Amino acid sequence: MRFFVSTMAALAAAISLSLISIEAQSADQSLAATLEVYVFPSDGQKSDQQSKDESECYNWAVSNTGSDPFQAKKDAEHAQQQAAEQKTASKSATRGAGARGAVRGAAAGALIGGIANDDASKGAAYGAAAGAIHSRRKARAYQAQTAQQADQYAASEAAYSEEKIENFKKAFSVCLEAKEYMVRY
Amino acid sequence: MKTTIRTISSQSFRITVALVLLAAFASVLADDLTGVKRFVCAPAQVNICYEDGSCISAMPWDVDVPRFLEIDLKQKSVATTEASGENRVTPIQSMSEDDDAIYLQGVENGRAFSFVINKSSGFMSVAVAREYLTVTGFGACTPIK
Repeated sequence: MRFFVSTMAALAAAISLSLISIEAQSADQSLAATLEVYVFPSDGQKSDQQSKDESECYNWAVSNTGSDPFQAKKDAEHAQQQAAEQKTASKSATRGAGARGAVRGAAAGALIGGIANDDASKGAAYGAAAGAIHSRRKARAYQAQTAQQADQYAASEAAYSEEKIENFKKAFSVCLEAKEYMVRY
Repeated sequence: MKTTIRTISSQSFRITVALVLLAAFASVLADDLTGVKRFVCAPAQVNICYEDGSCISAMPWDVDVPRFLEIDLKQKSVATTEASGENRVTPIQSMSEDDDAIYLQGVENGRAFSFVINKSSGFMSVAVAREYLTVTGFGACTPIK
């Protein structure tokens, strides 16, 4: 009975130790893995050594390239969020444009052909609704322009951050290769 | 000469009275148009709807719908009244009628329009469509004798 208990205790200890080791390993690998950089210890380095080397190379690459990939990712996400907010803001800002512009707008000429004309040519007699048409058209154009600008900004930020990450990966790889690791990304 | 002047002024008087009555009771005043070839219509309120689904109500003159429309079935035209001084006219391209109503349709300057005018009541329903928006309205018509 005593033998059984001690065996079980030993087994439990072994299991928990191996779990801790797997956890530690996955945590160690997460840095390179998160960056999608595959690192193999060519010189038979142990995992704790690899983890230490990766950490050193990470810091070295950050200081040499001036960019932190995690920060770059965050920046790109932030830019995307900003662009989305800008689009929403321009949409809500132009929503009431029809009513605000309702003091201008009119037409002359043909009878039916002159109905709901946004040609501003009648001075103070512009109809409120026709003014709304003109205003809405302008608002739509503004909204489209803002959306395009926001998209462009987000795209350029994404491209810039991708470039920064790429540079970082190069520096990170060079450092690890110098420490006898095989690196692919 | 005197008779001619008297006839013209009498006719003008009748039109003026009709217009004044229409202006005052545009939404309720209507008349029997059976067999009538010329009549005057007064659009009441109009509704403007945009392609995004929003609509606003406006007065006819807000979107340059004249206060009175003279419809001439012989001439196939919709025109402003002489008194308005606007001198605007639109040709009617398609015209038909049945026992109940007169149907007028046409296209002008990027706008397609349809009129449905009830013969017995003179009630008018109008729809004008242009790119990205529609203008619909109702009104009443009475004969010009």
